[in-house]
Amino acid sequence: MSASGPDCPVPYRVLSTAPEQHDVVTLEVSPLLGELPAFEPAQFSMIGVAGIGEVPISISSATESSHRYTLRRAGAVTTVLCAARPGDVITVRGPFGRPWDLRRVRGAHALFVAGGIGVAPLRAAVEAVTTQERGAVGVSVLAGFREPDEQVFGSWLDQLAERVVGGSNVTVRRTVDRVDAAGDWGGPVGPVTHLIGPALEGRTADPVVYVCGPDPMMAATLRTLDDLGVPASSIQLTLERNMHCANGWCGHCQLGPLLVCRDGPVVDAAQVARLLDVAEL
Amino acid sequence: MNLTIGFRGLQTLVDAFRDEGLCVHAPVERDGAVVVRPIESIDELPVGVGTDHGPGRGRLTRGGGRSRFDWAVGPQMWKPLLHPAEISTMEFSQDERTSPVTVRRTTAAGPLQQRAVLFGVRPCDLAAIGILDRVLLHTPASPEPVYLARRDVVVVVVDCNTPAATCFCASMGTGPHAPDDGAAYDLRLTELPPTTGDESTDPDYVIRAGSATGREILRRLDGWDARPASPSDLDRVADARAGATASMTRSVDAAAIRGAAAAGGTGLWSDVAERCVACGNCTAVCPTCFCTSIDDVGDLSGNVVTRHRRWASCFELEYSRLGSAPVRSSHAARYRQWFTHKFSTWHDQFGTSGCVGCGRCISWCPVGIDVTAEAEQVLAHHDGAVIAGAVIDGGP
Repeated sequence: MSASGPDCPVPYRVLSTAPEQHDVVTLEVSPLLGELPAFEPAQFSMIGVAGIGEVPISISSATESSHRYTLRRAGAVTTVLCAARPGDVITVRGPFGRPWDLRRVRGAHALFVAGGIGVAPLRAAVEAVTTQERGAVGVSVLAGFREPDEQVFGSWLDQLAERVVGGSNVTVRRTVDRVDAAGDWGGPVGPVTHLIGPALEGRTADPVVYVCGPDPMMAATLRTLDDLGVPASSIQLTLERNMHCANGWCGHCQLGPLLVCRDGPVVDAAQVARLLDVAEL
Repeated sequence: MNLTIGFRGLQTLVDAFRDEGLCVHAPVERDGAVVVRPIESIDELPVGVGTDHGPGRGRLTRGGGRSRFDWAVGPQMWKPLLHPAEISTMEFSQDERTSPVTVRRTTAAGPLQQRAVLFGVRPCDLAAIGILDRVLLHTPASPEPVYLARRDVVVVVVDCNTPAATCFCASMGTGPHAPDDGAAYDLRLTELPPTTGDESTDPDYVIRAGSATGREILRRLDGWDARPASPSDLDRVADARAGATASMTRSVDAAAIRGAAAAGGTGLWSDVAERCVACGNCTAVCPTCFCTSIDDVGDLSGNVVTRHRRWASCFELEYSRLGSAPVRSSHAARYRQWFTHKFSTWHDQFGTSGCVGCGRCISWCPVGIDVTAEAEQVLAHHDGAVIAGAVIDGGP
């Protein structure tokens, strides 16, 4: 009998792996024993490899019997996880944290703004809003990537545009920071913030906004939304910080007054707008 | 009810604890510092030892007669007992390298082998234990298991009659004396220096209970060499309190610094960053610094992995690593994190200050950074624009 508690890792089997791009992998996992815990979009788990360590990764999608985690290779733990094969056993603690408040989409235009792998914590929310009766009047998904071949969930984004919410198709717009001279990218080049104004033009309902990406991208997004007159109370974003315990005990995930594991990862824009503008906070 | 006991009365107390199977942890002098060790006899307490502290400097002094509690603070006292510097918390046994099958908590992560008496806790350190309680036990998810398992201790606090030059507990509202009422301690002692001026005479102690446990201990010692404290004894307690408070030269404006530390200002932290070497000593000696890191270590067979938890410091580069780089790479950012956390954002996170004014970070800073002087700089130069504390009044 294994010990239990929010600090105790649980063994999970890797069911399948899917490369998303050269250094991003999605792992589909399910627990060796016991039931799959419930999760809400934007919640995260500490996933790890015994003897190596753990990292906080958000659940990007789920089935009835499995969770999918999408992660970028960055350090020792993610390097091992990115090399996982079906049948391998990893450890999972969680899910933890405050999820997106998706009740806000009722009667509103849901705008999702993602930067890079930040599309992962948004995916389950977009799925919920576009496949369940959540009452959104319209949905736009904006995603910015560094380069065309660094797109995450590219084919999923393609399929999204075919879905209909509130009588019209989901708007999906992509942009990249730069294009290889030899590339055949036909879309816009520039920051994702440039897509926000056009996406809001002509909308009949007030927007509610969900943002995930690197801190500078989120700070820029908040400034753009402020310039466009979108109130901070309509905006949520999800934060990422170094994390060891995920239970508010270890201190690593502080952002000013916030403990991201306890007060986040989803926070209201008003809580963090000034924090994101402070370098090295 | 205040009782007065002679010095040997402390031995009666220690014996009573030991007869109950408790381990009495108390201050002793080792290698030129006051540290905490299990004791059997009160003769192991430091005799006539005082503290001569300043920025980057801490020495023990002699010549305090027969006083046992004229030292202010040692570098490490109670935090390592309740919140160990390094501990193995779990073991994963596995069939093969990547197949953990069972996870179990280690014995080390459980209760102390013997229930502990913390004998001789300074009021600042008592306040620090109260802060650790809030941080580690009052989390919404669940209490931190190691601290919870060790926290069942008996606390004997001893008022501080001779603060060090680095102390500023009065300004932080934690000392130099423990409160009259409140169950934060079980027993409180105040050392009464001999009135005769005879330096070979042991001091007397005024003792009172703070908790039901404390009252029970005193009741069971009925008939020991104790008498109700006389008005003159209580006058001497009052004099000691007033003298100790008056002798403290350092202070921090705790209310003002809460707002100011969270504010911006051009170059607010650049000056101190020139001096700070980011060694983390201040976090190691701080009685409230609670941060930890987790490391997993495999044995040679590859079948058993041990999870270690060790104290972490916000001055470490790795502390804030996100992806491939640390969030706080400059010394200025790391000092700002430590300082604003202690004085400002700790309130937002835990509803209390993170500083008790013990002054350890001043004494054990190798370059002599004085947190009270830095606080004055912050108060003088912040621009009022609050950046790090989203909510200053009332908390979240």
